[in-house]
Amino acid sequence: MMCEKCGINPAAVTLTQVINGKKTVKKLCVSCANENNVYKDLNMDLGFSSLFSSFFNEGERAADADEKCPLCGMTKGEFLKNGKPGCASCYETFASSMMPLLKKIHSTNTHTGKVPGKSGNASENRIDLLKAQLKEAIEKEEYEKAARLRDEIKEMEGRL
Amino acid sequence: MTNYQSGRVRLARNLKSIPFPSRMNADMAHEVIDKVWCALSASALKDTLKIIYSEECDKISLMALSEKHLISPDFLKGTLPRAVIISQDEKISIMINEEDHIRIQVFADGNSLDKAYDTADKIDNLLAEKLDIAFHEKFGYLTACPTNAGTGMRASFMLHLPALTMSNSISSVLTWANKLGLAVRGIYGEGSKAKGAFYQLSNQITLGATEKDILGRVNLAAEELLKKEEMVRNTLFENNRVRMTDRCMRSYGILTNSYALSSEEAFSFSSDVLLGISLGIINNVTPEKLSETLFTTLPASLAQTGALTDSDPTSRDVLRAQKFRENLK
Repeated sequence: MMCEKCGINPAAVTLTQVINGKKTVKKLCVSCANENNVYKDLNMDLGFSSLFSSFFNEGERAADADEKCPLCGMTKGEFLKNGKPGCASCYETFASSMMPLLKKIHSTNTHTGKVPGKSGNASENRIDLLKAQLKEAIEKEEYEKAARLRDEIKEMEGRL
Repeated sequence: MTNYQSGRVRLARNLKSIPFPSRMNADMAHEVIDKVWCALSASALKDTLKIIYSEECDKISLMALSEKHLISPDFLKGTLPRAVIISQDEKISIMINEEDHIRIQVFADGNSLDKAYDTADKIDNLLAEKLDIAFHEKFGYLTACPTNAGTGMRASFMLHLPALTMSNSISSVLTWANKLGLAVRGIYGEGSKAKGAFYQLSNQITLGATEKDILGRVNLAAEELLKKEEMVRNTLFENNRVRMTDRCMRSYGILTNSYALSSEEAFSFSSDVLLGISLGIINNVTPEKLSETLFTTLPASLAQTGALTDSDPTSRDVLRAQKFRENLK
């Protein structure tokens, strides 16, 4: 008997499929059977679209799930579900979750590259910017912020 | 040694006050297109650029742009109003409303990505002069997917690695690239299958390193991979002279004598012929001519030439075979 699909090669495989209770039996050659591979029909959602969600822990997910981004209206719950922000403001609104997420993806969360409008290596520009902010933070007696800025400047100067 | 390779640099940018494409409506999409086109038409570049609106463009023309890598497969799939701005020489393409509002892409001439980055950087500066680009002092450029945040830059090379593929070394290439923060995938980007031993090498990490660091790393890795490829190629050839010569010449024979050629076949036989050229087995065709033939005979590019009477795949395969016979003999 020849393959029912191509009609060229001898049939070597019997493919039995039950779809919606209806049974069909086909005799196919090896190559057509491979093409007809039932594994291809798996069609299962493995949840890769929301891959990042596994990066967040349960506690993080439960807290302030209703907090909303003022620009695009995305809630924290939605953001944590797929790890993709809805707009630029989401980065700031959900900064507390964004920071660890970026760190997990890139192993750091501090940009050292270009700053808009300025070409080339912008690390120096950024250090200047941070130093100005540090000065301002000290003047305003925001010591926690100042300490964070100080560490960041140290880290960046170390890298240069 | 001849090698088929082509590099490009892509920068992802967004506007500050408009939601990312995943959360915007058609009006916002039009606003982004208008703003970007306005900014560029006011610049010195305007005479060299043209804009193509997805809404005014038929599917075949869009697919042909995608085959030439001027737009991405995701751009094709989108439903929002989109546009792409392309330079006359097709070295620059700026996609609007793909995953991000703006994706500047520049193709490299030759072996280094640095010049391509310089061009992309200039366009980026032009846009930043006129537009409010989303930027965060800590996170850098803000992108629709956090995997692109920071520099927003993807630097990549298309590499032809037949010997590494034949010797089953690709999995170790993947591991090696991963350790360097780089990725190796099929030539049509994320999720695409490797065709005929053509691969895309690109940086995986976009945040924390400077543009210069990333470019350097990708340039270096491409160079290193091509060196390894050459080494394996020569060893394989020394040990299997007859079999490899036969394989390359057979593929050349098929490409120059077929009456109907599918695009999958074209990819895989062209890959063998490119290998044959680099080993000095095949001398009557240049790698440039071959790759040009390969990329201009992909389904939509062929349909666009108007030489097809119907869109039936069989007549496409016949026309493709004809082009290969004409160009390679």
